Amino acid sequence: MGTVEYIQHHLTNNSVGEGFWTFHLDTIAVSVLLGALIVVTAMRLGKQLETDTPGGFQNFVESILDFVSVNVRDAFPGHNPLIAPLALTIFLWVWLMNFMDLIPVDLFPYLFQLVTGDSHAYLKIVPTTDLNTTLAMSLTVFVLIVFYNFKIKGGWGYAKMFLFHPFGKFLVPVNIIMTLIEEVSKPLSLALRLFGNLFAGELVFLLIALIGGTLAVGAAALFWAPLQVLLDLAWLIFHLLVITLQAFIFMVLTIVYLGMAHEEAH
Amino acid sequence: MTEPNKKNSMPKHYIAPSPVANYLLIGAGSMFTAMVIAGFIVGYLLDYLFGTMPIFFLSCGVLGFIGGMQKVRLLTKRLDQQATQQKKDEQNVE
Amino acid sequence: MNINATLLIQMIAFMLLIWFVNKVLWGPLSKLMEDRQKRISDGLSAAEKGKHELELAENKAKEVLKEAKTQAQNILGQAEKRGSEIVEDAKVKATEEAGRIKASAQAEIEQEVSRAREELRKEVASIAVSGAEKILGKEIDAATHNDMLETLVKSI
Repeated sequence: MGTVEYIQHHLTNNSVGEGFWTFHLDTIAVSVLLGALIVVTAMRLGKQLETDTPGGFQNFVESILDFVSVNVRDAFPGHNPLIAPLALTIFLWVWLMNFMDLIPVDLFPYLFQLVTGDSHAYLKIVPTTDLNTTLAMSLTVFVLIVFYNFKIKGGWGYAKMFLFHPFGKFLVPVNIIMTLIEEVSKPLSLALRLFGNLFAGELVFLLIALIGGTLAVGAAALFWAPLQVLLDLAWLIFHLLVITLQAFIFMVLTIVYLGMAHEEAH
Repeated sequence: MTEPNKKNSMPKHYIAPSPVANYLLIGAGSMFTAMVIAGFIVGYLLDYLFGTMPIFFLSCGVLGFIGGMQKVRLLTKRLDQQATQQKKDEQNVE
Repeated sequence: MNINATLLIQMIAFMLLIWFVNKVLWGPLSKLMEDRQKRISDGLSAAEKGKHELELAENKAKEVLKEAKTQAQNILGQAEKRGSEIVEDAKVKATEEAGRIKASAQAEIEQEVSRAREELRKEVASIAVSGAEKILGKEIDAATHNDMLETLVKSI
């Protein structure tokens, strides 16, 4: 297998369907499983909640909750009971999906190929390297942004924002397009940032994996294999930071955008 | 006294209060990219609506570019203002 | 760039997950944490209140003690005063008694003296009469010379 094919193979989703009605089975399965993991863990935790003497795991979850609620309080003016759970969901889910990036790149595809018996079966287990996932989340956030803009500012207030902003009242058509672009850029920047970072990370992991895979033939493996392990470890540690940071940024910017939607028109 | 007030009220239309804007700085870089891409997308949709390919596509792309630059400029200007304000405060303390 | 129907599925999954997280994780846990915070603050305020009450009670105890002390002092003073009064009273009574006794003794003595003097006078009169009888040799009519005798007796 050539280098290019190897990478392409790893970055192709296992999909069903044609054209628009294509479903990325691996993306859906992994993300739903991880979502289910959150729910099941939360339910199990919910059965043994203790007010006075929280155990280790409960303490851990509580500290995450605290972290999220502190961020919400900092970046969100006003009060909305939906924001905090939304932020928490984003943080946990995105982090878990990003974490799939740290699993050795060949492990799951290899196992999958063994199980299905098809040596060319596609499998991409990091849902956030699929633009569909990141865009789905940011579009949901976008819908909420529009909804709250209407709810808080009112139809006329929201329209005024489109008409007279950012260039005053003399360039109304340009203002409309400009504000439109601005609003569209919010979810887009959220989705693209996450996708880009994770995609690049995955690509680096693949390249590192290639060092041991195709370059090491015979005695040369003695040199390349330790290098691969070293590089992999270094990138893994760095990437652990990246995935947490990306999850955090996605969460905080969601809060910030929704906070901007909650502001009264000036 | 009136001049700095004027300057302050200008970007106020744009940017949320201070702690929020600090978080926005995280995304200043990708904001620009996203603005350009959003410009192209909006332009494409408008062209699709009116059948005027590629007038809106290109002009909206340019608008997105300008808007992105302006956004980044405003965000970084805030940072500059904060820095100078801090310097002033320090000098005042001394 | 292959955006397709996966997007819709993921959106639905995301919304469902938000709902679930709100229901099973955020809801109960944040409620629990709020409860705990409230309990902690309640406990703190209760402790503060208890401390305050203790202080009040201590103050009150001190006051009561002080009052009791002053009362005791009063009682002691009164008792002392009363004691000295009694002593004084007794002294006065004793002097009175002594005075009375002295007076009665004096009266008795005087009585005795006057009686003795009376007796003596009578005796002197009788002696004088008998002496005069003897001297004159004849009986003196007591009645005739009574006046003379009287003056004689009185002069003694």
